[in-house]
Amino acid sequence: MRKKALLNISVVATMALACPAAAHHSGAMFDKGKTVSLTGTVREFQFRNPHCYIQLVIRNERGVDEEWSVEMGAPMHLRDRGWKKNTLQAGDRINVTLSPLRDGSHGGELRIATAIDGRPLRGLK
Amino acid sequence: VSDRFAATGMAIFALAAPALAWAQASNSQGTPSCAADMARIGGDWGGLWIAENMEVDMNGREMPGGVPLLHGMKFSALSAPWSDEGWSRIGDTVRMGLSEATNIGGWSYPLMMSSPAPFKFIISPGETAIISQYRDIRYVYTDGRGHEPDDERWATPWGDSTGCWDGGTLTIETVGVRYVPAYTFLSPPLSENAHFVERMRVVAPGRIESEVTVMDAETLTQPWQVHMVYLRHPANDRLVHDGETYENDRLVFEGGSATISDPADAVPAARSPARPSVELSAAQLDRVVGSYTFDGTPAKLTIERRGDRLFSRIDPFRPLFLPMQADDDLSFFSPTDGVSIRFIADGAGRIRRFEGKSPDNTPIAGARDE
Repeated sequence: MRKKALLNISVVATMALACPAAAHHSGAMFDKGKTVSLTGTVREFQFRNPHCYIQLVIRNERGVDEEWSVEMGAPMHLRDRGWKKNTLQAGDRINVTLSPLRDGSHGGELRIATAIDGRPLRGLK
Repeated sequence: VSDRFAATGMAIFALAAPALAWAQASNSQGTPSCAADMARIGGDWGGLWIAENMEVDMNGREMPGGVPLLHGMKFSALSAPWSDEGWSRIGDTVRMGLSEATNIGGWSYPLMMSSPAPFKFIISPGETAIISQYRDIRYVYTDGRGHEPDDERWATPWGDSTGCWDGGTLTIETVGVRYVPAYTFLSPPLSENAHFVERMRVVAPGRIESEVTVMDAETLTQPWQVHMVYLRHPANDRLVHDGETYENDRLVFEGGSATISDPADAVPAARSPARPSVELSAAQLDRVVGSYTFDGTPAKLTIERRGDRLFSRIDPFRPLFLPMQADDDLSFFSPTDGVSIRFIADGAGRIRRFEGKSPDNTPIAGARDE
């Protein structure tokens, strides 16, 4: 019985890393132990299933522009949080905090998004 | 099967069976019926509902500071009182949960009743449908019918449900549920003989509570009892089905690891704008209407006019009419499959032949049937 209890706890702990975003894919590809904060310009806001994306262009420390793919939930989940398909427009300057991709690519899962003036881009309803 | 399971299961059955029988006997002024008496249902079952603690953030995962989704999903594979057989079955769940490659298509039953997907009830006297945002659908027949016979029923991810309304309480029995890990690996891997009983009612405005008992002697040590709370969705009153249109699926694997594809790879190929055409009179169109035979073959080209547009059909290769657009009064093309045809007139101006190209640019030609 004790063995099963331990297994249960272990499974819950590991599975917590892998629960699919409210349907679709596991979050194991993102490093939840890290956060990356970026300020950049929206090139495109993809409001489409199964995941919305902010394509954000930032200028890196070498002065070179690089584009990041910032993954969000499905449109239905964004709507519940007050987002609309035109909440972001190309050219908008925003700040994002994300959990980066484990493979080091320029992408991650969104944690916080704010307008350049610090206004939260969430819960606008 | 443990004695404990058998004893407890019998007790649950003993409680559930009279409840169902009583509901059948007492509804609709004493006439045995399970149908919803719309005047007696009481409470407001309308709107959109979501399991308690299952609202998600804008990234599709748990709310900041909220209950982790897996802990909140009371019907997840991690919550059941598994027997040794049950524990042996959650290997798929663990393996798929730890894999970056895992996708899910929806939630299935019973997980859809404790998932982050809102759902709604559609209630009519003889049937109640429970429809989730991810298009998981349960039909609960309340017209008095039983389950399909064993030899006619096959197990599905949603099962076969019958129900009884007793005033404002809906009791649902579900059987024939199949665990399909490729669809929802997090759902409990019960056997296909599992038996589910739910009793749900509106206990306060915007709050439904449900007592659920799952019995499965093959995989559980005892009946699995779950208390569910459903809350009217605080931010949403409209069901939008958008769960399986994966047009923006950017999950890819590179070097054995999951990552996000380049955005250019996810953008659908640019569609060419519609090719312009010229407008022709009915008389000009009628000039080419008729039947033609391809040179050297029995294949037929048929041209007919429908209003201000020509349609072509090519038997036996394309036995359906598709619209044609005009480049001029003798040259036409199909915007649908790319066939192009130029008609050729004789000295008297009567159309005698055609030539052109097939969709793969093969030259085609033929003569008008006399």
